[in-house]
Amino acid sequence: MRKREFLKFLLDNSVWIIIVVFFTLNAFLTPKFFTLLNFRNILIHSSILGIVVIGESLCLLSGHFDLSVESTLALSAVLGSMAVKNGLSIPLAIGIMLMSGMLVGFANGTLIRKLGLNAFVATLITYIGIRGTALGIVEGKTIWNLPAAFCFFGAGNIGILPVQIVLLAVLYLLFHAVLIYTKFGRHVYLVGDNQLAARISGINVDRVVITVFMLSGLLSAFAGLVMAGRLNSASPLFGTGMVFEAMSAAIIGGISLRGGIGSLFMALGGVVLLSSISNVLNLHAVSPYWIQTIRALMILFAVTLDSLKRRLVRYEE
Amino acid sequence: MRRSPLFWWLVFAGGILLSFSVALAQEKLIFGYSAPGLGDEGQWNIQKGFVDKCKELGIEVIVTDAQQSAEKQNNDIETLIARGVHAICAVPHDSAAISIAVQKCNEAGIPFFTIDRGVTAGNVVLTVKADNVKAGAIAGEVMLRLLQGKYNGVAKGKVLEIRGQPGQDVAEQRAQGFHQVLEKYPDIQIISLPGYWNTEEGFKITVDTLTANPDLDGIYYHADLYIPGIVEGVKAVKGEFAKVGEPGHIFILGIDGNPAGLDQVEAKLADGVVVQPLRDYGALIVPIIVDYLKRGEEALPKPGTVLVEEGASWSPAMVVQTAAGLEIWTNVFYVDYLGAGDPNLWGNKPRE
Repeated sequence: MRKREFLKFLLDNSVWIIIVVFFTLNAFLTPKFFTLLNFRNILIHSSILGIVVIGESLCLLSGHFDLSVESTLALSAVLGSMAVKNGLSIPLAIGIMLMSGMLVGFANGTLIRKLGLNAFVATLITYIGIRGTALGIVEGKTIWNLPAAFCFFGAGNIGILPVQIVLLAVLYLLFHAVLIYTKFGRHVYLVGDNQLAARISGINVDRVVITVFMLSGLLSAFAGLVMAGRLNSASPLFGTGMVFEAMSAAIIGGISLRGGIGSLFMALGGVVLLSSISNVLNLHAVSPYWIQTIRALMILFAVTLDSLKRRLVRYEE
Repeated sequence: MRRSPLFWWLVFAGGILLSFSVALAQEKLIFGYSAPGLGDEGQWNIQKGFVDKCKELGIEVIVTDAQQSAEKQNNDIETLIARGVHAICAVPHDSAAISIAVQKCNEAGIPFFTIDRGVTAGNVVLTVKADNVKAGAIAGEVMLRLLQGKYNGVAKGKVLEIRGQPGQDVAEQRAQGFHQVLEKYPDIQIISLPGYWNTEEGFKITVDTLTANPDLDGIYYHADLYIPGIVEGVKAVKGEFAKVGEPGHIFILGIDGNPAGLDQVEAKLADGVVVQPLRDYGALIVPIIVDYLKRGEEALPKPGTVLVEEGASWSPAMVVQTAAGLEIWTNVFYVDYLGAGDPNLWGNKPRE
């Protein structure tokens, strides 16, 4: 029984165990890896992707994809930066950014639930359209040199801690609590696990799915605020390709593509693992021509370890 | 004298033929312009320069935006072929993938030109681009001078190179020129990492490399879009940013000369930038396309010649026959904070 419990613990936390192995190996193999400054760097690198992954994970847990996260991030960054550059107050600009994200999410949810479009198709439409809108608004221009107060969420510090890291921790704790301890959270899992059963048991599936997409949009827009602050600029190209990283992180963390299975804590593990891999490759200054291949091999190694562990657990049972 | 009906038929047919020829002679030229993605300052400006010159010469131009997708760019070009444009000019997103569309263009008899990047296969009449090897070499020479200044004339130090997309010809040539200059000095270590033309990636690379190498002396970037990420990356690791001339300053220089880049140079956040005349590529290539449609091959400049035009930022430009075809390599030049405010630089010109 104890053995089985131990194996269950291993399985439930597999991504974090892989991270421990990865960190231990690199403490010896990678110069400057095992330092406080570098851990801080890894968490900073994880923060923007991490915020996007919370939204993506909510969608995946409810049994849906959201491809529009990266475009929503870019639109939000562009809108907010233009707003502050045109003299609007910072709270108002942030309000516009977050509202834009929620509107995109509402559009996604409505297209899926009210028009009956497949989530992949619906969010593909917004993925294309929203980046196009960001591009059209600034005509390819990069907005830079933003007010310091606007950059606080991306580049500020609270004591010795960068705000980005604090935000990452707070948002994960908050949404983890929402998923585990609230009725809405349980409904998300139920809808993802079996939509029909959820409906029969009286859950308003439309409301749950639309809310999930609105939260995803809101978080992506917030990630846009953090990125604009972090880079002291905004471009319609922000976040290009991030949707694939977000999905990879969630899946590496064990969130099922079929919905209903996984936890945010594990998805965060996926984010930290991906960021750590990139960090190690940069610290080693791997050849520009081989860096992608090596990154792919490292991810494959991590996923294989996870798969082996699952097989081992099944065998032991 | 009574004319035969055949005579009148001939007059009628002649009249119709004459009207057709007049109509054809007066037909407005239509060019297609295929952009790889108008989401950055550089591509927007290349497109703007092309469209402006076409308008000036009374040419209609259809602009398409591939949105960083090689497949969409091929589709865009096929649409332009179907539209029956007289010539197509493209900035390839992917030099290999666009070759399929170039070959279709060749089959349709529509002359194909490129700006900024070449293509792998297919017949391209002419390519206009900056001398990227020279741009990289200029950056290398300036970096060498700065390092020698720091170390009392000794060529030594550690430099981070933030590249573009590995394999893309522009990124490769910018790397080639830089390495050609600095690799002669064994005590100068170059750390090369790919930034994939992504600002956030530039930030991460700067942060990680500075952590691994706190003694980093300089950063060379392949495009201005990296600058905000570099500046914020240095701040994130060092806690503050030492400007040009201040103790602890890390030399920062690169290629492009876009508004953000010039602004940072003027503000002494970066040491300087190698400027390429993006906005003037159109002014150079459009008249050549028009002339080519009239006179064919004769209109093209001969390899080995140097094109000169008083006051033009692309001048002097070298005409080169490469394996990829005929190319014009425009002038590139370095500006530091003293020259970064020049209103004639493309990055300082108003957008409209």
